[in-house]
Amino acid sequence: MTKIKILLNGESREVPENLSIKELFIFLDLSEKHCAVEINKEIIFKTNWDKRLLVKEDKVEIVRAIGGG
Amino acid sequence: MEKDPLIIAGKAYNSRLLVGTGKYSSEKQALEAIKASKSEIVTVAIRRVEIDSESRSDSILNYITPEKYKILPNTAGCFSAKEAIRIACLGRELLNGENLVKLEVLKDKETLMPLMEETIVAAKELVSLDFEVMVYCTDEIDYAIRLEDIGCVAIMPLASPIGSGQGIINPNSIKKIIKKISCPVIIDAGIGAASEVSVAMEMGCDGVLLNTAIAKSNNPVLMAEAMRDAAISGRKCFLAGRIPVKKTADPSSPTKGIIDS
Repeated sequence: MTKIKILLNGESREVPENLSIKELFIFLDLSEKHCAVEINKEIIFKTNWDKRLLVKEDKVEIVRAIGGG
Repeated sequence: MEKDPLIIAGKAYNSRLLVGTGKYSSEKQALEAIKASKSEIVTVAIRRVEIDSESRSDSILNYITPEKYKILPNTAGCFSAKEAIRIACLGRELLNGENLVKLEVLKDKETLMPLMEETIVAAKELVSLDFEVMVYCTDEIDYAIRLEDIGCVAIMPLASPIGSGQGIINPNSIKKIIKKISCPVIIDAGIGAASEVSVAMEMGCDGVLLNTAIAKSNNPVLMAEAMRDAAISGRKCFLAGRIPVKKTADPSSPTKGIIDS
């Protein structure tokens, strides 16, 4: 399997080629619930998570809500 | 007492106390204290997910749920309009399109004071993107007026610096804002004790938002109750209308009919 390098939450990471965002969550063993995703500073709406495939050097941010004031 | 809801962006809330969810020692403690506060609007921060599953913490929304609470994402930790807009958009996305946001743009990490010029830039942009902006600001009247003109749904001046517990430093500035502004004025940041919540409400503030004063007290559940009661008590005092302050004493008992000595 070919792997590509992406920047995930500020850290360089190798992931399989042609991975969708939906599949990235499975790959990371991460629950999709209450998360938001941004790639190259553009929000990817949940409805597009299965369509948007990761390409090399994508800057991916996955965020969620935590305790705060 | 008749119903006296706090109305923000057309939605009515029974509680005039808004609380943050940070700085608690555990999820359980946060949940219990927030429950005890009877608050309906709670703030959360937006941060990166921990990628490594060992260090991963759950989303707070798993136990403080959007079904039970109005979740108010905060742009805390932003130092420019650009960053704040980005965080607000991510917050809206993870809350499935909820438009309510707490806008906070800070000057620096030391003072945590609002950076007003950037706050105004961000407020304009967020309003144009259909956000309902509750804006954290200084207690300067000119900024409050500008932010209301832009279309913010609540003006939230600080009582004193974030987390300082110094109480209301400039009551006269807050009073001026209350007088001039028609949308809700909510004191945000700097509260330390229940009496200060009461004073804010007695002045005519529409609500109080606090976090550290509850979370860092020795008994957060008890303090949450104290803050809740203070908000209710202060509001009732405001509605009832306090007596004017007099320079001299005025006896409570009739002066007529006193028996001779």
